Formats: sequence, structure tokens, C-alpha cells
Amino acid sequence: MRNLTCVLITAIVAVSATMSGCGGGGGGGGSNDSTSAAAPAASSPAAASAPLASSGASAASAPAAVAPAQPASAPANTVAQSTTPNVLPITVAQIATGTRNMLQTSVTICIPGTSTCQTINNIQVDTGSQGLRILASALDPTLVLPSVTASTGSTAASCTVFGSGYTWGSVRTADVHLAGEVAAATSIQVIADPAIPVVPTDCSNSGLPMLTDTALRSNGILGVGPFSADCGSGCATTALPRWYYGCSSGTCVAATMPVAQQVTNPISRFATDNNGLVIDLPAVAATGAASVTGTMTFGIGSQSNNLLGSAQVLPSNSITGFVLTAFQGQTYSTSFIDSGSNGLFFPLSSVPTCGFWFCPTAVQSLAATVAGINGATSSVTFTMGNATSLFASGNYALSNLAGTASNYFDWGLPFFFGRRVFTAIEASATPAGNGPYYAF
Amino acid sequence: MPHVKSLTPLRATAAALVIAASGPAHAQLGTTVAIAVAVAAAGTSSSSNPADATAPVLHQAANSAVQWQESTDANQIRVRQYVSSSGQVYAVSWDGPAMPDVAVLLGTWFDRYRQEASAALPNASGLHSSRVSSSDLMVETAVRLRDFSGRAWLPSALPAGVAAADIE
Repeated sequence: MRNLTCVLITAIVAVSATMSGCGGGGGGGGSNDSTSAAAPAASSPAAASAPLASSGASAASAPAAVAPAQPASAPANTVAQSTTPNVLPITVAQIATGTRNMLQTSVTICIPGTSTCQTINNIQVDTGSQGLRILASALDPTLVLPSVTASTGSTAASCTVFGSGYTWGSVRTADVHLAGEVAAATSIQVIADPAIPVVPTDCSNSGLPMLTDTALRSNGILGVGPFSADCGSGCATTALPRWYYGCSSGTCVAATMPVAQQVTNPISRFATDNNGLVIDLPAVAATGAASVTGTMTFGIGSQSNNLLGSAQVLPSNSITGFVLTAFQGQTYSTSFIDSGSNGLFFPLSSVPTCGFWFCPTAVQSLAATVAGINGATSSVTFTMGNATSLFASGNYALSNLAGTASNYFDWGLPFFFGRRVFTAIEASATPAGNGPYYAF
Repeated sequence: MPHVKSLTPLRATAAALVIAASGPAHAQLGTTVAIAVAVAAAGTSSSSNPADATAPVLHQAANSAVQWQESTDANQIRVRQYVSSSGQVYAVSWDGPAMPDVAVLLGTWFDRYRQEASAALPNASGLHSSRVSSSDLMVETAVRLRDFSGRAWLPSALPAGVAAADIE
């Protein structure tokens, strides 16, 4: 029904022929709370109250299974129910750079409040960062998105440093459509945007540029991690280096950026289903698979398809997002579950390496315990194969790929195979209390 | 802040030597700093201001050949330079809420790092870490959620008794 409206408006506006996949309702007028797109949702009795818990309604330390129905101020365990289509397909398959275990999806973005939209494929799904970032070269030139203004009054730009390199680009707003959900007028990063000055030395001194589809190994990154903004309050109060910049007269200098204008996890901006997500990927054989398909489902406990069920909830540190992992007598306090890492990474000296990958002579079974900050634990058994053999297999979904890390435990994409992994967003209410947490 | 990690216990077991290092506060990997040991007050390790980047302190782990100079800047980015007894910076490490200026820390090794990291990309480890591993240069970076950390060292320059695992 909404697609029909969309097509109709698109036809009237007669936008560029390359536009496609309008994906969701038009209108909305750029307001934060979508008025039209999620209209069918309000059938449940609890739907009226704001789904995102305000700062006053924090805590709820003990996860309670049953939330008492209170009409007025929503307690942390009350989740607005939704019927909005909330399932987005995801894939791991061969990509141009040959990189293994790249979890990808497609996103549709629109000029805010309009039906001028474009669908972009080959976007990496990353639970280890926040916000949507898309290469300018992947966008149709006619999709002119409004620029965000830095607090200095200049055009906002962002230097986003990942472990593998940095992205540099403008901060612009778009209506982000994922399945039937809409994040209206949400800040995204347009990587290598020719409309802003080239990368300042201050940013490029951070490491490797990821300003092309080859270096990025994708057309962009969809960051759906445990926070609502990429940087958070640190960048709102301090002009941190290699984060946000204000550009004027051809020069960009570090600037503060209010949290609400920072590049934002689109899920946190949905009208409903906005407290997190669950990623489902099938199990993969020890030798890998050529490709796999799965789903990312938005919301936790807001529809019948995103219930926690028997998943163990592991609350993470509300500032860092980290949980703990106990492994072979050591406890690593900066652990996270990250779809953007293509292997499992941890310290282990007893196994031969090949580069920074592990190359045991035979598949090894290992065990670890992941713990939340409240002491809840979940045991994990996993296997590790010979990375050289796995790379040589020609498969692109590798469940046994593991490598070295100096002093932390990174549960990368192999962890997701054969599991149902929830990531709950900070300060948002779920049936098990507020995020941030992981559950599986 | 989450970025203190093992700093406090290390400091507690270290004998602090106040040094006067010539040149920039962040000496570059591979360079030699002139270490003029001004004070060797073994019992007063934590009395100096640890956050003052202008007064670097030379830390030495108990029963170890590992010596490092540490500073934390106004943005809470903590940087360590590991120095040999002759003053050579054989390793650097960092941790904080933003990436430090890695080009400054790696100095003449920065271009090599970028070349090798770029060449390694197809079989690299994904978005949140990178590693350059060669006979004369090792670099590891990790950016996990909002935490930026990394370390770099010159394997052939490690002093006797110092292992890569000592670089934190």
C-alpha cells in the first residue's frame, strides 16, 4: 500500500530514472516522529507512550520477566508493540574485493520528507559502530541531502576512525528506510563527499583512508551497535580530534557536535521497533559455505518475531558497551559482539599463526564464558580452523575463522552463524530492562 | 573513564623516574630521546601529577627491562613511548576516546604502515582492527565501539628481556 503511494509520488515528481526502491511512505514532512509511515501500528494498548525511555526512567536493574501494565509513564520494561514490517534480508557472499565474512544488506535513503529515494546495495552491517555511512560515489547526484550545520555555524563533516582506517565525509540528513521502518531526517555520513573540502591532515594522520569501494570493501556501513549516536556526549562537550569538524572557506577544523546531530544509529530513530535488533544467520559447516542469507529484525519484544525467548541477557557497560569474556584463565573486560569483524579475535599463544590468523593443524574446539556487568553468564563453545585452508576453500561464509588479538576478545561474524543475537540500544526499554546489552 | 585499564596497578609497582626529554612530548617511533634522569625517587612513584603531559614520567615495571614514558592529553588519550636504556623509542601504544595522531607517533614508519595495511586489506580482519606484521615493523590497531587503541613496535629493537606482550 505504501509502495503504491510512493510510486505514485515518484511518478509525479519524475525524478531521475536511476532512482528506485522508494521503500516506504512519503510525506512525514521531516518530523522526527513519523506520522504517516508507521500509521498502522497503533493497535496495541501500550502504543501511545513514548517508546524510547527518557533519562528519568532509567535503571530497572533486575530483568523482570513480566512488566506490569502501567498506562502513564512507561517503566523500563514496557515496549510499544508494532506491526510495522521489521525484517531486512542480510547476506554473506562473494564480493569484489574477495573479503570473507562480510555481512551486507541494502538500504534505501530519501531526501527528508520526500519520495526522492535511492536504494544502495552492498552496505556492510556492523554491530560494532553506530550510524549509516555511504560513499558519495554510490549516490545519484540528484539525491541532494540537506547538510548538517556544525555548532560553529559551518558545514559539518566527520572523520570516523575504524580499526581498519578512516572515513571522511559530510554529515547530511536523510530518511533512512529499512524494511518498513523509517528513521526520519537522520544524520548520516556521506563518505568522500566532493562538496566538502578534502580530508584534513589531522584526520588522515589517523591511518588508512577508506574513501573508495575498494578500500571500504563495500558501498557503505550500516552501524547498528549498542549506542544511539556514533560518538556520544564526548563530542558534544569537546571538539575531539578525528571526530567532528566544521568546514568553512575550504578549511575544516575540529568542532563539537550535539548528540542529536551526530551520525545516528537509524534504529534508534524508528517510531517503533527502536530499542535494538536481532540478527539471525544459519549455521555454517566447518569448511564454510559459498554464501548464506539471514535476517536482521528490528526491535526487541515489540513483535512476535523479535521476542527474547530463552536468550541469555548480558548487560554491557553503559558507557563503553563492553561485556567480559573469560577464556583460558584470563578475563578480558573489553569484549564485544561485532558483525563488522570478519573473524573471532582473541589472545592465544599455543596455536600456530599465519599472519594474524590462527592456523592450527586440525580444527580445534574451544570454550569461553561471556559475562554481563551484572554477573550473568553464558557459556560459548566454538571451533577454530586453519585460516589458510579456509581462505583457499573459495567459500565466503567461514564459521571457523579466527585470529590474534593483543588483549581483548572480539566475537566477530563467526559467532553469529547458527545463533540468534540481540543487540539492545542504550537507555531504551526492552522486556529485559534497558539497554545496552547483548543477548543470545 | 574506561581507558585506565591496568595503569594504576602498574604505576603502583613502578619506580618512577622523572625525566627531562628534549623535543616534542610525543617522541616518534625509532627516534632517540635524550633522557636526563633528574630524580630517581623510588618511593614516590604516584605523587607526581599523572595527567600532566608536560612532565612525563619514566615508568619501570618491577623486575623488568620495560621502561615507558606515559602522557594523557586533555582529551584523555593515553600514549606510551617505550624507551630503551639508550633512549631509543622502540614501541608506542595508545588508548582513548579518539584516535591519536598516529602519524606523529609512528614518525618515519607511518607511510610504511599505511602501505602494508593497504596491501593486506583483502584478507584483513574487518572493520575494527588492523595488523601490519613484518620483520622490522609491527602495528596493531583496534577500534571497538567508542574505544580507540593500538600499539606499534620495532621487533629488532626490543631490548633484551622485553617481549611484544609487554607493550600495552
